[in-house]
Amino acid sequence: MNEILGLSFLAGIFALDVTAFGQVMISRPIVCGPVFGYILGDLVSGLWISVIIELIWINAIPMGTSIPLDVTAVSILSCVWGIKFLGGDKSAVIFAMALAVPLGFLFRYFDIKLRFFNSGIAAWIKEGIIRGRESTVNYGIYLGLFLFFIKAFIFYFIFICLGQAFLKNIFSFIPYQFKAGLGFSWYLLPIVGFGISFFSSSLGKLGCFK
Amino acid sequence: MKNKVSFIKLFLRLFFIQALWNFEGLQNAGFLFVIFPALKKIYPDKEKRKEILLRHIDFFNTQPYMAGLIVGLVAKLEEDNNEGRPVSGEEINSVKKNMAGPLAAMGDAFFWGSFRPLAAIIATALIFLALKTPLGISPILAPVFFVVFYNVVNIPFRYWGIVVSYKMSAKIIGKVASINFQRIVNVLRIISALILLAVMIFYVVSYSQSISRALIFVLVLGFTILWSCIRWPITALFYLTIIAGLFLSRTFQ
Repeated sequence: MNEILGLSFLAGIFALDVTAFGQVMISRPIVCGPVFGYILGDLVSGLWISVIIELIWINAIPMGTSIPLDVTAVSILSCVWGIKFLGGDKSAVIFAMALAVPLGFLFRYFDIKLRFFNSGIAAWIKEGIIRGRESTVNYGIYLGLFLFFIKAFIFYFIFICLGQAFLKNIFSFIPYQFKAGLGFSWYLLPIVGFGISFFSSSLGKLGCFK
Repeated sequence: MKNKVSFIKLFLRLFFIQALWNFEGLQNAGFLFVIFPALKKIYPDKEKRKEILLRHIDFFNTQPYMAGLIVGLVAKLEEDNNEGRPVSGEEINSVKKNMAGPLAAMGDAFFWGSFRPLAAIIATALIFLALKTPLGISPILAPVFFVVFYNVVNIPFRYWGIVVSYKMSAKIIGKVASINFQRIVNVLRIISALILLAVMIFYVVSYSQSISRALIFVLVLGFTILWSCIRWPITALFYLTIIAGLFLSRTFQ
């Protein structure tokens, strides 16, 4: 349990970088994948996960009011589930990644909910200023930061626990042929990432493709 | 704002600009938090300051790295306003809002649309070089490289933005407009595409093991580019590739 709490705490810190604090890009899959892989004792799987997710969703970053799926959540859950609970086998990592992608969308859903809730805190700051309590400016920002963290921490804690409880059993029911297929996808997915990144950095900028 | 400590305070607070990002005012509370120490210094009278603080909690949104340019300029204009120079509160608000949009577009295109992908692509190249060549590169260097390479530009830029816009005041608008960001973005994208091309060839050669498998890799690449041209959802392609892997594994394993 302590290990899961520690992993969730670390994931919460990484999640802050997405929007709430810094944006120094430690939340990108290319960083958080290898970090979690290293911590969990399988750097190579962490690197492979990071390459696939980073390149496939290379343009997925919150800009203004556009919030894409959370690639940090996909990377971290893929690493923790695939390496810690399923042993880091190629097919296990791809299986974990396939399950983690919808949770990237779920994380986005909670993110949007929190951003609506933040409007109330911003209004509280304004009210504080009107009443002469300037300290609400600082308290409001720190509260916002705390909420971004706690949302991520709870999310990761729940889904890491669920992964621990169910994933191994589910994976053991998967037929060998299916696992071999997942293992082959391990080599195909980086190619998909190359294609998407190549398109977005070159062909995608041509007028005919816009 | 005469001593350097104020710039450092603003710079450190700039990291929090999105801590209370919300759908009504976007970065409004964040902007106020960043500029708060400067306003406290410029307007020591609490009653007068109240009106200024309320003015700055209005809607605000820009690219977070570019916000420093607006923070520095607004601090300078507020100082001028307080010292009786001809700048009204409405004008300050108008400058702030009019700069936010174009700067956001520049920052998004440069930092997030081209510089970050370039850093990620170089890091990917380092990963494959470390995994598949006897060069003795540790793969952990790749994420370290990504973070250092990206932040060695972005973090000093944030500080520079505050200082230079404060010192240049309104002249900063012309200065920023004169930078040909699109040209820089295009160059970065070409470099990214070339590195990616080299990584793709290296990957196909290193991991294909047989001609037929190399052919499959090339076909998947072509299909991905075609899929991207049509602009169908990327997530669907991700799952489609896994399904393709299930069928192809019977042939190749």
